[in-house]
Order: sequence, then C-alpha cells, then structure tokens
Amino acid sequence: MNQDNFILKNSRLIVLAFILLGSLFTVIGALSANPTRMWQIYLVNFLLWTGIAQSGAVFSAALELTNATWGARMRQVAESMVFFLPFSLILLLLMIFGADYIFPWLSKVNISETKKIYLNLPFLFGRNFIGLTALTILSFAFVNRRRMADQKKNERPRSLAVVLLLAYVVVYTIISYDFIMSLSPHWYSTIMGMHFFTACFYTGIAMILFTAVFGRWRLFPENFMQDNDFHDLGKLVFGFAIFWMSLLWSQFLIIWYGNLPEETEFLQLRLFEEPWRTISWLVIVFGFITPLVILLNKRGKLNQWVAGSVASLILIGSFFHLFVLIVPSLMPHHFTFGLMEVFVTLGFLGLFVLAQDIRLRKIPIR
Amino acid sequence: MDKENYFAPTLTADQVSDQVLLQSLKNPGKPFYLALALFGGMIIFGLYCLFTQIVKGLGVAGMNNPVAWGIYLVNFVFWVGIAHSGTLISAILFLFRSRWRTSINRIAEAMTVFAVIMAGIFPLIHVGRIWFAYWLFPYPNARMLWVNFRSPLNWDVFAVSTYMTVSALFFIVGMMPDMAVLRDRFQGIRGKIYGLFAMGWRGTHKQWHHYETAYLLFAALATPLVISVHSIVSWDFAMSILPGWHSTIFAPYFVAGAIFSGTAMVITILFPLRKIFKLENLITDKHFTRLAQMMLLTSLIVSYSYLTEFFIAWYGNNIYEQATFYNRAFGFYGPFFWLMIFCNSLLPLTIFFKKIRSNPKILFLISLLVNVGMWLERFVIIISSLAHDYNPYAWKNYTPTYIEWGVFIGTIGGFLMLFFLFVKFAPVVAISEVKGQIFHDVRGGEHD
Repeated sequence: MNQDNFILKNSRLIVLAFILLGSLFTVIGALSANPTRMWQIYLVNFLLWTGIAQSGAVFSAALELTNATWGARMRQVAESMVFFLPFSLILLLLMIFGADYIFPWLSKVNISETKKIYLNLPFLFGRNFIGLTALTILSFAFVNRRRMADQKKNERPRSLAVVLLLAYVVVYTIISYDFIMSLSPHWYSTIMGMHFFTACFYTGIAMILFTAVFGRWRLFPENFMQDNDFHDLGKLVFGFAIFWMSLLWSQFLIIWYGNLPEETEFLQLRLFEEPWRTISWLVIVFGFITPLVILLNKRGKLNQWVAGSVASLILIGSFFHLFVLIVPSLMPHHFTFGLMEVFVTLGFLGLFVLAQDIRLRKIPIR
Repeated sequence: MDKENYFAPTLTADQVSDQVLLQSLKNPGKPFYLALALFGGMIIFGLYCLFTQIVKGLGVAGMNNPVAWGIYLVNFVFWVGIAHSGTLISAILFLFRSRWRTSINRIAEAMTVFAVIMAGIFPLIHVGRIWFAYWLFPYPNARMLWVNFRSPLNWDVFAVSTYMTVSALFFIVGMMPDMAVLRDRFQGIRGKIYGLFAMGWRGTHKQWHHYETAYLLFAALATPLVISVHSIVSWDFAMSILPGWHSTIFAPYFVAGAIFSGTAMVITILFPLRKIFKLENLITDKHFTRLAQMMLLTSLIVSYSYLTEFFIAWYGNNIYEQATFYNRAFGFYGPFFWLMIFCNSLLPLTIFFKKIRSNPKILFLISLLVNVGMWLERFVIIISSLAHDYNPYAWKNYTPTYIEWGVFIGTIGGFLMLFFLFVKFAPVVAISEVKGQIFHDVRGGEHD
C-alpha cells in the first residue's frame, strides 16, 4: 500500500494553519494587558499534550513488562505519539517568559523561607527540564529498541522499560507539584503526584482509542485494528476511568471529612463556587460517568463509533480537568473562554498532529 | 496472551489429579499432627488471653490515653492486608489473562478467606465488651438506636463483611468441579461432605457454561472490592485529623501495601507447601518469579508513598506534620521505622536481579522479612502518630502487653490451623483449571 494514503496530505495545510494561529495568539496573549489569561491556558495545554505523548511510550513499556501480546497493534499507535516530546521541551522553556504570571509564589504570595529552597525559578525549571529531557531520551530509546527487537535485531528492552516507568513516575510527580500544586502555594495533598500521572496515562489510552477510530483512514491501513483490539482497549479505558475516579474520590473524601481550612480552600473553590463547579461536574460526567455507563457494555466497546465518541469526550474531560486544577488558582474570580483559549489549544493540537505525522512518514504503522 | 508454559514439560493430566487428590488420602504423618497440636496450643493461649481481657477489662492491654489504638488494630490491618492478594491472584489476574495464576490461585484464595476471618476478630476485641458486637450492625431495635454511619470503623463493618462474603463465595464456587472429583473418589460421610460442596456438579456442558459465567462475574465483582476494602481500612486513619494519618494518598498507599504483604504471604506459604507435597512440577520456579515481580512492583509503590509523605510533610510547612514525621524516623519508635524501610523498601530491590528472583529459597527469606516489615509499617503508622500528637502534655509511649501478643499469636495459630486442615481435606491446586490449561487452554485465556 502506498504510504501516502495514510498520512496527512491535504490536511497538512490545516495543521500548519492551526500552529500558525496558535503561535500568533500565544504572542498576542503574552504581550496583552493580562498575560495570565494566555499563560494559564498554555500551561493546561502543555501538561495535556506532554502527558499524552509521554503515556504513549509508557503504555508500550507497560505492555513489554507484563509480557502482554494483546496490545501488539495498538502499541504502534501509542508509540507514534512520542514524537511530540522534543517539541514539548521547547514549549517548557518558553514558559520561563510567563513564569511571573504562572507562579504566584514568585511575587504575589508570600511563602516561607524553607519553601523557597524548593520553589525558586532556576531550580524549578532546571529539575523539570532535566527530568523531561531524560524521559524524552528514554522514550525514544525504548521505542526504537522495541521496534528493533520485533525485527530480532536486539534483545527485548526490558530493563529500559523499567527505568522508563520509574522515571515517568518520579518526573510526573514533580511536574504535578510544580505546575499544579504550587499554584496554590499553601495547599498540599500527598496524592497529587499519583493522581496526575494516572490521569495522564488515562488520557493517553483514551487518545489511543480516539486515534484508532478516527485516524484509521489517514494514519494506518484500513482494518489495522481489529474487533478484539477495540474490545481490549475499551476494557482498559473503562478500568482506568474507575481507577482515576477512585483516586479523585480518595482526595476529595479525606479533605472533605477532615475539614481543615488549609486543605478545603482548594476544593471549596472548585466544587462549590460557580463557574468552576459546573466545569468540575462536566469533568466527572465526561471522564467517569460516560465511560462507566457506555463502555460497561460489550457492544459499547465493539462499536467503534460509540467507543471513539466516548474517547473524545474523555479527552475533552481531561482538558477541563487540567483547566479546573490550574485556572482557579491563578484567576479565581474571572472565567474567560474565548478565541484565545480556543486558538492556543488548537495550536498545541496542530503541533501534536504534526509531530505524529512526521513520525508516521518516517516509520509507518503496519 | 502470555504464551509461556508455566508447568513442568512432562506433566500429564492423570498426574495432576492423582498428585493433588492423593494428598487427601494419604496419612500425613507425625509432623503434620505435631504442627496441628502446636497451632492448637497457640489458639488456646490466644483464647486464654482474650478471656482474661473479657473478665478483667481492657485495662490488661497496654493501651493508654493517647494511644487508644494498640496492636489490635495493627493486627487487623495486617490480616486484612494479607487477605488481599488472594483476590488479586484469583480475580484480577484472571481478568488480565495472566496464565501463571492457575496453579496457585486456590492456595491464595484459601489464604484470603482465612485471613479475613482472623482480621474480623480484632475490631471486635479492640472495641471492648465483645458481647455487644452485634451493635455494629444496623438492625431495627427496640431502643430506636442507629449505628454511627459517620464513623469509618462502621464503614469497615460493611466493607469487610462484603469482602468476606464475596471472597468466600468465589472460593467455594471455584472449588465445585474439584469437589465433584473428590466426591466420586470417596464413600461414606466424607464423600457426602464433598458432595455437599460439589453442589450436584456433573460436569455437563450446560453446567460448565454457567460456571464460567459465574466465575467471570465473581472476578469482575471482586476486583473493585479489593480496592475498596483496603481504601476504607486506610480511611479509619486518614479521616481523622491526626498528623501522620490525615493524608490523601492513604487509600492507594494501603491498597498497594496490602497486595505487597499478601503476595509475600503467598510466597511464605507456597514454598514449604510445595516442598512437603512435592508439587514442583505444578508450582514451578516461574511462579515464584512472577510473584516476586508483583512483590517488587507493590514494594516500589509503597516506597513511593513513604517518600511522598515525608516530602509533603516538609513542603507543606505544617509544624505538626513535620514534627510527627521527624519523630517517626528519629523518635522512640525510630528503630522500627528503619527496620520497616529495610524490609519493605530496600530488601525487595534485590528482586531486580534475575539470580535472586529465580531462586525460591531466597525469595522465601525475603518474603518472611516483608511480612515482618509490613506488620511494622502498620505499627509505625498507628502507634507513632498517636503517641506523639499535637499536645506535648499528652505524649505517651505504648508497649503491648503479653495479652495483646497472646491474642495475635492465637490468630496466627488459627490461620495456620485452618490452612493445614484445608490442605488435608481439599485439593490445594485447581485441578480442572490446570488440566484445562495443559490441554485445551479453556480458562485463563479468552473469556468472552
């Protein structure tokens, strides 16, 4: 089959337009009177797309370690997302320009001297850059060696998979502390790291399902994914919906029951004050209730249109999940969602698709 | 699906049934009865201690004013934790089509049921006035009293009893085909009892069909229960606002710890059992390797939680949290803390080496220490936080008395006694499943 059949052809222009418009709005937003508005949506998108891209490699590594052969086809889809990671390193560094607007503890809120040992700009960007660079290198190395191992050119990269998973957990825990928890400088929650990397992984497998359904005419041969693939993927998404919710619930219940003011401020804003309250419920409906109800049924998993729609709702839910974690900390009493938010998001989406396209041109799925 | 063969290559079907079933026929010999006598002695000592406490009151236990939760609750969490890997191996691995569960799932399930029984005893002893234990259940009563649904200890009543019911049903239903084989081999009263458990099993196609459906449903129902039960156990602590207890990570942290300790206990039991009954061709070294890998994974999650708690205590800038965690590591109970770190976090790291994880003898030793470490973990969490809370005036250390140890020893005896009797009278390996896997690959494979 001609590989041009299943990669972006005419739509490449649209993708480039997205990226261009996205960068334009990023620059306009950064120079506007209220740069926080742009930077907060930038941060939301940075975490969302980096998390998705990273979980592609993590998914493949997890399959490797569990000797799972049921995911042989879907792991190729997962691995094609990894190419976004180098882009995300640049996007991370760009955030230095917005640091003043992103991190309240830099100027707006007083924090103790001990906290400043951990929360200061050079250390924060230093550790995150090193961590994400290491993860990028590990992910690329793993994906390549795994592919070579399939062609019997080298050993299966099991140790590399272990290192990748451990690094993922550590780095993503740090990211969640730095880019989510520290935005409410006095708030803390021990489950934050685990909750965040689970959420990223959950979003990642929803993305695999989404790509498998809606990308199959362009990204890979028709009938590449089979019925049992969709069945397995549907089960996985279903399981992670419950697991993700159980972590969210663990955090909520303990804070609600303990009723300590330094902990409840975070939830009070998000669960009891509009408009965040509506968004939080939207996240729960899209991210948990919809997959729970629809994917419970075997027909729901096997009908690709239904499963794909659920996956897209989960992706929207994941976007708003990060949105409601980040934005209320920065602009608690202003809710804006206009062209700025839409185009910055589309810019990130364009970059993600472009990265996937470059990778698929080089290494097509077969 | 995992295509690896987990059994000895020479294994045949007749061998499986004979090997497993004949154990029940044979005279187990003197050591078996001596062991039973020892466990009986332990149970009697435990009952004596319990009786002393009932007659004289809770004062005979070492609990004091700040430390109102002594090792009774440590033991409760310890036993509930052990009860977890049974369902993990039976249900979760079944859903994940991990074929290596097949020859060890029966042992793990039995362990689950017996450990839950032992766990359930402790809260009743702990709350005192055990003859009023039925007050824990919400039943319509003449005094128009209602249980305190806000109390996490009451959530435990529901969580643990649900878990016990489902895991016992799972265990009994899973044994039906094997019990039918036993029924056909025995006459008299013993055969009748086996027949009772076989529940009219004839092995028809229709019966198998229903059986498979029921098994899958039980597996799917038991899976969320594994998570929920230990989450609720962890919330006994996390719901309070005591530093060191009030932590949002407690639910996943305790669930991972439970599976960790349960897997360790499976290895601890499996190793001698395999030796005594010469089951080497059914329970191979590969099974131990897989169990060890599971132990390593859960150990890493537990270590992650330890680190997170310390980091957030420092980062959160709350002096009470900081003092509690400093005290946990360097205070009166510090040595226990470091022993716990050694057993739960450092020692399991050796499983990364292939030489160690493929050697059941070393794994057995590691698993023994992990059992100790996981008991200590609950001790460190519960006691060190209580003994050293907000008010220095109220600080007081706690040492368990012989009564408390005695009850613990009694439950160890009870657990082992039940297990030995189970091994003597029931098939320790799921015969039908092993046979199925050797020849037809019916179970543990595609299930839809």
